[in-house]
Amino acid sequence: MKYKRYNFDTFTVHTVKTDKFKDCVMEIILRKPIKKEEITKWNFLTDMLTYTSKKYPKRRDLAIEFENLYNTSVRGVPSRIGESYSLSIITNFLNPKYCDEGILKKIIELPFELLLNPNVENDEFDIRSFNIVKNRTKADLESLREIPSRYALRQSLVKLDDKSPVSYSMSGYTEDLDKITPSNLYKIYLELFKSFQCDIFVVGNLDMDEVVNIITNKFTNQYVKNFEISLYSNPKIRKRSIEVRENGDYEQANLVMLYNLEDLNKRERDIITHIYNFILGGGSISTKLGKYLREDNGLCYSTGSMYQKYDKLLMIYAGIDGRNFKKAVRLVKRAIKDMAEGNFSEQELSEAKLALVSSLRMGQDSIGSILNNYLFNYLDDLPLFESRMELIMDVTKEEVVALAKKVRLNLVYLLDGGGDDNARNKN
Amino acid sequence: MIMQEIKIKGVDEVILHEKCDNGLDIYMWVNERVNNYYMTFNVKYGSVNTEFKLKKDKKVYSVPKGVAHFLEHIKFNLPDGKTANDFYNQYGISINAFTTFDFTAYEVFGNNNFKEALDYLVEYVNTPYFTEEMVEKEKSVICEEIKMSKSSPSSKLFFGSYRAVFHNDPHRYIVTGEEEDVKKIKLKDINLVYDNFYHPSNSFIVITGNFNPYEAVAIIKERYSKLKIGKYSEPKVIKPTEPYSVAKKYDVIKTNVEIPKAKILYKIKRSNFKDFDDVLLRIYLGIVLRSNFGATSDFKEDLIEKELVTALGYSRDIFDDYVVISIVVESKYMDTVLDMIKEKMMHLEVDEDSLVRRKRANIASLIYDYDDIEYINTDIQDNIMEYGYVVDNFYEIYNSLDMDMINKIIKEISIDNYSVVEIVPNKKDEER
Repeated sequence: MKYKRYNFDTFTVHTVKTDKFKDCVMEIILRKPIKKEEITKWNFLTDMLTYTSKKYPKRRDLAIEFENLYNTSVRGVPSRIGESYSLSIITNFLNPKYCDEGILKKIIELPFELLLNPNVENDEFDIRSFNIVKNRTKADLESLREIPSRYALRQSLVKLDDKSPVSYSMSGYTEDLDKITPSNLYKIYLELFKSFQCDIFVVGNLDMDEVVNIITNKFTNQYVKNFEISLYSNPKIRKRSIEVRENGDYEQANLVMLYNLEDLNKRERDIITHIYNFILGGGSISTKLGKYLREDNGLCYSTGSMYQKYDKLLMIYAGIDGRNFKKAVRLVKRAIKDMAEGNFSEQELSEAKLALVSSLRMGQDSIGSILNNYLFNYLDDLPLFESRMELIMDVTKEEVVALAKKVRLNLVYLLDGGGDDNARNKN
Repeated sequence: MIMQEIKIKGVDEVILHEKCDNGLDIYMWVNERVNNYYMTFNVKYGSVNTEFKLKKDKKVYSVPKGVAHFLEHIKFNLPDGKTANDFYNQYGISINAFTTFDFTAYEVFGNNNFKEALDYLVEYVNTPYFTEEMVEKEKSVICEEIKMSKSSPSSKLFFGSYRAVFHNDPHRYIVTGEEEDVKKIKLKDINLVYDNFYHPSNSFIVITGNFNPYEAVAIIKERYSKLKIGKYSEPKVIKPTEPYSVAKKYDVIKTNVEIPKAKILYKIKRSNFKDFDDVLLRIYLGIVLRSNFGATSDFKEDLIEKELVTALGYSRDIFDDYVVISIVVESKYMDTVLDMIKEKMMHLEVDEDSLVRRKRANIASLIYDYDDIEYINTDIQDNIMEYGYVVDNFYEIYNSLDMDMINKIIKEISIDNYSVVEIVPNKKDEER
């Protein structure tokens, strides 16, 4: 595997040459500091740019082109990392050696064609595509409550700190959507390359000099944008945790508990918290949470914990019967306390290390994980796969316990299942 | 050891097959470019197999719905008080399991200690240990799993639609069983199923990834030589007779959905498609449906442009005597859209250009797929369960697809026998 960086004035291309895969990926990553009021418009623009273009005025035209290019796909993915907003245009494609001659150029140029030549007439985006994307976005926003586990996680973050980026909905907001018009969207588009820092990652078994050559011939970005983007968000810390309950119209209640992780050093952020999280609830059903909530007490089918590194948060979730709320909270607290008191064995520690090393090795077989490996090394100086494996194996129990003492409960949130159970719960 | 080599035409890949003396089939695909291995132990026993006859007494046995899934949950427990998780955790190897309508799979995903991982997979799946206490304890966990699945509108629509299509076919019941079914399950049901279906003759192992296939076969055979495996009882699953008509022409499910969704399901006699084996039938139906309802269809483009739908999809499934074609839609103008879909089904068409593009795209997918050890493992599982063998000539089939067959299949799609299932918001209760 060979990583190479090509620096240009207005963007950087990172290439990873590997003969592991028959497919290839190119990701154009545009990043800027996040602002709540801008999320909807940038999301909308991403959707528009990857839906149609001047050359492919109907979605069907683009879908046909994808098939012609041997099932190539181009999609736009907005995301948030801490306090940064990231807009990715991801192109997956078959290695050209299995395709017709000359196809590499067509494939590499396609996402740039979409970005640089949008479906615009008289300084307005095509009304037809505009309405389709708007309608679809509206439907997505209306459907946010349909998956209760996802909705509960979102709501818990709003209740944690509604001013912090952690609470921002990456689906956008209806009130901002209503303000977007075909003409002001074009003005937003004109700001795109002025507002974002641009990196392009390419992974696959390709002649990377040729790929870079195609990119530089097609991509004529003229705006230099090199600003400091803070990766980490700093949500509110509470000395005394709060409890919030909301009612939903669901078959099952969803419990979320949010813990702050403060004053972690780099080793704790990059390595130790992952081990802590694995023992607590990130691994199989044999974790502390799996054992206490599911195996010993049969309170739930699904439970676990997630480490949100760039939000300095630990999230715990469980799908439970609302009547078991108090018992479930008590058991989660017990698991957290066990960790802080060092009530886990050397064997649990060793198993967590092996499992994490194993999952990094699995990542080496995934083209997306390989891309992320180099991306986060570049953005956050996260050690690459091999170094991370070594660092993981060096972690001691004392280090995990020291980290565990920095885990502080902030919020207990319950999205109740509604119905009779809910009524009983209140009494 | 000479194994059967199944050469996958057009993509330069080989799947190895070994038939063991005890009846077990082993399928292996080696990919030396990757670090990992993925192994599945598959038992041909799924949620639909709730009634069966045994050779020994010719009696009909029936078990509550959801037994296959229940058994999968408690299969991880072992006589020494430990679980399979305890064993695999010591190596950092991941395990899981899942149950479908037709089979149950026990999975191992890792990149170290291959020998131990495979040996133990064979050992633990073939070591029955079930107790009353275990059965009672697991009931609450499974009931929460059912509730979780029922909180998802798409899952409700999926199972609700088969309930409308089938009168007797057990695909009309959810894989986990309902809560009341789960509560009825007893230790004797678990043992009955295990004793009669968990046999090498009714199982197959699929291993994909980076490993030595000769070593793998030796490990499996060695482990079986130490296990006490009884004679296969050859249970005969009883399949109820399913009439041609649909069980319900129309059904509505009220749930926590914001935008209404619906499925229209056409139940067609399998015998309509006599010129197509199951492999060809799936491929041709896929092309017809994609051309008419997929991303490259004018129809979908038109519905979206007129803001009549926010999502439109399709699927096709073969169930013994019937083929079910489903069109799924998300819309606020459901009556109009359903009428348009019915109208479209009367005028299905595929043009030559579209067929040429699909050939190319399908061949590209075939090449892509061999990057992914999980996908190929799943593909082999599906091939075995759907066709009984590993299909080695997709490449040739794709290259030989022709318009005559397309036109023939379109002619045979009958559209007079269908169900409509709608998912509407709970609040519609008051409005209606």
